[in-house]
Amino acid sequence: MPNIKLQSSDGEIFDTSLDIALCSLTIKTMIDDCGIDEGEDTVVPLPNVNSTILRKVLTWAQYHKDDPQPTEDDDSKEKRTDDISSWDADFLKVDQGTLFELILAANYLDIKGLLDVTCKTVANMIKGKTPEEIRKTFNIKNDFTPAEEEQVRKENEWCEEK
Amino acid sequence: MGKTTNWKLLPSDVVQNILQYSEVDDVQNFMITCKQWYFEADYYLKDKVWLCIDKTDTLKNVKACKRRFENIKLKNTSPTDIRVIKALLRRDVKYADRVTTGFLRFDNLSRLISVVEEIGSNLKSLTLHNQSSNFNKRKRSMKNEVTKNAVITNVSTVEELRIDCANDNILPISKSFSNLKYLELFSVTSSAVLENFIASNPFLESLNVKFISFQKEVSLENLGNLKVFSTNDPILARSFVKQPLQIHTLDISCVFTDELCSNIRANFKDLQKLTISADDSSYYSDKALNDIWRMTKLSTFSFNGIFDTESWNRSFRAPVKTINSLSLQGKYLVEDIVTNCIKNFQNVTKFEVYDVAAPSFRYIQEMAENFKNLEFLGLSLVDEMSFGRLLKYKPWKTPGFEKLKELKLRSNFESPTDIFFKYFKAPNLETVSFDLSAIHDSDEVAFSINIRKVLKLIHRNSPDVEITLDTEQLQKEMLRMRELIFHARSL
Repeated sequence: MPNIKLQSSDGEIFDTSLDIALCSLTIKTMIDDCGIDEGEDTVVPLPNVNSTILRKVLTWAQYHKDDPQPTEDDDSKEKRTDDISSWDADFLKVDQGTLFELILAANYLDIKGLLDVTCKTVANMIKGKTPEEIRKTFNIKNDFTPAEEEQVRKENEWCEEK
Repeated sequence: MGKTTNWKLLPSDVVQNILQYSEVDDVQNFMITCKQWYFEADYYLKDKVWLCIDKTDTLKNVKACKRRFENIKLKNTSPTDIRVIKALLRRDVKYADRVTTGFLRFDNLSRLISVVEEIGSNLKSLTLHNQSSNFNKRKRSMKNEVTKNAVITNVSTVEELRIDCANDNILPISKSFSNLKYLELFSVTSSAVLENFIASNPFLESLNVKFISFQKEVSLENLGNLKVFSTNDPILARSFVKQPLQIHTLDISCVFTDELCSNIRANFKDLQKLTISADDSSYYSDKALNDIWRMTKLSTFSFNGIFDTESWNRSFRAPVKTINSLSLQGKYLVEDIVTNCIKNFQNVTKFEVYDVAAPSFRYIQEMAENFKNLEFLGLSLVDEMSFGRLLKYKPWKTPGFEKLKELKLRSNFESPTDIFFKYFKAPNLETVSFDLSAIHDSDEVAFSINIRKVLKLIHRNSPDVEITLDTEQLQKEMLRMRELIFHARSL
């Protein structure tokens, strides 16, 4: 498999195997649309991903390059958060800033597997927490007035899961 | 990173992705965190939850509730409920696509239809139950009320209706709908109700009529668009099969005759799925079955009942090859029929044989030798040692089960079925489900020991298999089973 050059937002060039880069549907589309041929010394610019995060993304893609492609059936499967592999769990033991940027990068680069596992990690950070604890976890300022907060609680009083 | 991490700025599709991994309680806490996330979670919850009202005097609260629901479920509604429904439909008319009511009285039912009509909602689906227990006490006043409210013209938006028609007072409502595609009627006491519904809904695609208490043939014209029909009433079934229709699914659980089968074959050329459930007073004959086998588009056939062994002449005409799903259920199924089915339908992907009185394991050797594409197998476990002996003295090979993914077992687990699992190997088996409906009659200790042994054996043969226990009545046992399964998985 030939290599391809990816350029991060801070200008660093990553010479990586094409099959790893193609984990990203965004890169795949760029290559298809621009008609980049094998062996060409083209650099694919990724202005929304800095070098630190791109390095991490490529590490993840390297490890998962042989994973089966997600199918439509996967979408209908029960959504679980307790099935994160130990490698992914270790990979995502990062500070919140890095996790946040990894999510944005996975979303921009359209890497479903990485986006799913990072979203699961965030869902686990929310699980079982009160609103106040969630605010504290994500450093979020409460912009509800007490009356508004009470109103939102009332709205959901009769919710029952389908 | 050098940048401040502002989680509130996560793109909307990412937030939706996160929420799909969260329980509703967590989503509700998430939405109270900040306004940005409130809107995200509000959008996410819109089609994920019911508005569930099970308290009385909720009108004030319902009016105060600003949430938009696509589904509304009303439980144990009180006399004020029609006002509750009205408030809901008025406020959120665009989003109330589906309403399931609790037990409304007949007068309220009639008024509900008026409300739906008056507001002109986009309501697509309506399920209406009646409170029959209080019916007699209120009969007189209700009758008057219904008569007063009988001027109901048309509720054209509703496409799905499930309705309990326990009294003739439902009659005015039966003319209120004109655009139904899916209709379920229960406890029908008047032929006029059924005829009205059919006459006013020319686009009906699915009709399910259960528990009819009148003895009269019904006019069944105007069913040109019907694709699915289901009933458990013999008179209605007889009327229905007399007319040619392009239906593809037919489910009749009622008395069964050769003539009925002959009509089905003659009039429903496009039939793909047929389910027949005869009662104890009717018998299948070989003629009836051979009529069914010759239907050229039939892909799924399920029958439940007793065979008339005296009229069974052991002939088995060449069956159609289109059948890929076959379910045989009954008491003392004729062995010839079952074995002939196995030999003639070698390419079925789904095969079920449930005999409440005789072992279905005895066919396992035929299945193993004949089936080529079997993916789903359903068996009843009322066997004794016979199959165990068969396995013990004939080394078990299962070419017929190489593609098997799902095994469904109906059992009371009194019999020593663990012998089967000791030898049974299906390399691609993913799911084993147990229907334990008969467990009430079993000794709990024996059951517990037996299921332990069986689970251990299943996991020894197929370590990745997922086990489920199909029974709603056995909540306690389910909980205990989960512990046992957990134990089995850790072996």
